[in-house]
Amino acid sequence: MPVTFDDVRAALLPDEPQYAAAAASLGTDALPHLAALVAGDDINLASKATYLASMIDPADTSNAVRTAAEHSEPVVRVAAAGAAGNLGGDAAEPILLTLLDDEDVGIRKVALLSVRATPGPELTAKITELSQDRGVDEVVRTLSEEIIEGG
Amino acid sequence: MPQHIQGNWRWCHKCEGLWFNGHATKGVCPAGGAHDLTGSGNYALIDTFPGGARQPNWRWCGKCEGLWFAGNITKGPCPAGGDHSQAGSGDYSIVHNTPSVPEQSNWRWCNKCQGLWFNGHATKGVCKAGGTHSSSGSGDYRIAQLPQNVRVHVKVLTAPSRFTVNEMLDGMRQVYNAVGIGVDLAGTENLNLPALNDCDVGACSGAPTAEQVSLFSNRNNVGANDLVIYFVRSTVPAFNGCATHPAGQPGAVVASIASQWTLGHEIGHVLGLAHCDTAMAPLFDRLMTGQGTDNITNAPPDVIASEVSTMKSSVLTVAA
Repeated sequence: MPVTFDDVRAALLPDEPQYAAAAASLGTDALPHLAALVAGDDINLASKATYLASMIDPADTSNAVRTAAEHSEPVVRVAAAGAAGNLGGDAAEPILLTLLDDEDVGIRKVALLSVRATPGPELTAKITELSQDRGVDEVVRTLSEEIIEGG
Repeated sequence: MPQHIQGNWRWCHKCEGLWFNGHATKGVCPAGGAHDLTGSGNYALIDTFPGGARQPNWRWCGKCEGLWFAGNITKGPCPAGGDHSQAGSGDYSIVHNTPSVPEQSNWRWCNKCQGLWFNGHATKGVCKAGGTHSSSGSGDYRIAQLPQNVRVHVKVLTAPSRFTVNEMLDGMRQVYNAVGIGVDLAGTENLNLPALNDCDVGACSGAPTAEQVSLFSNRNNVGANDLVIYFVRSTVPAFNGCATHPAGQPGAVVASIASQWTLGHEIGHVLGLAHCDTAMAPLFDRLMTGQGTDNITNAPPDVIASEVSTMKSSVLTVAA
């Protein structure tokens, strides 16, 4: 049976969604519905849809995470920052570069936590810049330093 | 209208009156200052009870927090100034002249201030109308006490966006009070912790994450059996809330996207409750549905007898 919008919505409505189980049961048929939810007005469902999309689609072919990273609601951008950690490097890095420029400290923090062990050169340069910027929030700078030192 | 059992009514040892302790203010006491709950049990009133042995038309005064009778022409003098107000109040019904009801007796109506006061002590309290309260013309009123409480401390990093903290507490009280468990708001604190405002909760099962450990270290001397609820902007990944907590630091995280029932649901987990249903057989009339408290169809949702037993067995549910 095809995956319906209601199937996807039902998987996201729990207070504590079971993302791994939902990704396994819904599969890629869910992606158009997830993309629609990310673009919608319900920030509860948009943020949860962002994360689930990243688990189903590590290449972000549906652009769900990319869309969430540019969402007007910070809560959804946080979800994008967390979801980026599930994406492959090629998909994740442009999204993380966008989110590391966000003015919101929490979003930058979550984006840094989603950086993989071996970031690409552009992302490495961005993180190095943050680690050396005395004007940046201490949380962001410290995390950036840890990534650079660890790398 | 649905019947609504509301706990968190308290006796004030200064004035002997009954007052509501569910708001940040402790009201205004005719004996001076604010009301004081020292030595009080947790009393429960019933809103919109359909008749019987109960007398309706008792009201909460939003100015002094006291309970007063609105069935007479006079509204009675309010300790906060002017007369009592019933703006925003439900219609409370109190057991009247019915000895068979096993609730605490000896509560009286004061014909001077219209308030309800306890006549079980040598003192007659302090009346705003002057002197002490009067029992002249009053019947015997009885009020139930909730035998057990959970004590909740609220720590706010970001206020929830869909429902206020008070709306969530009210939702929780509707469910918990109905099964004899009071909900005390023991304290509220704002926390400025930007690094933890979007809290990594992992899979929200098993051991807490490093960020949860860090967040839950902000109990700031609350009691060992008190629950601390951290209101954050979001969890990573996105949940409405998460009840995983470090050992010995009972509490939960509630995100800004939470429903009205998420707080009661997460505290249910902390008290030992599991989800009660599956996706194939959802139970949307229950607080502990695992299919989303946003789907709840019967407000307030139910907790069943076995769940109540688990909740009352928890060391976190303490004698009132």
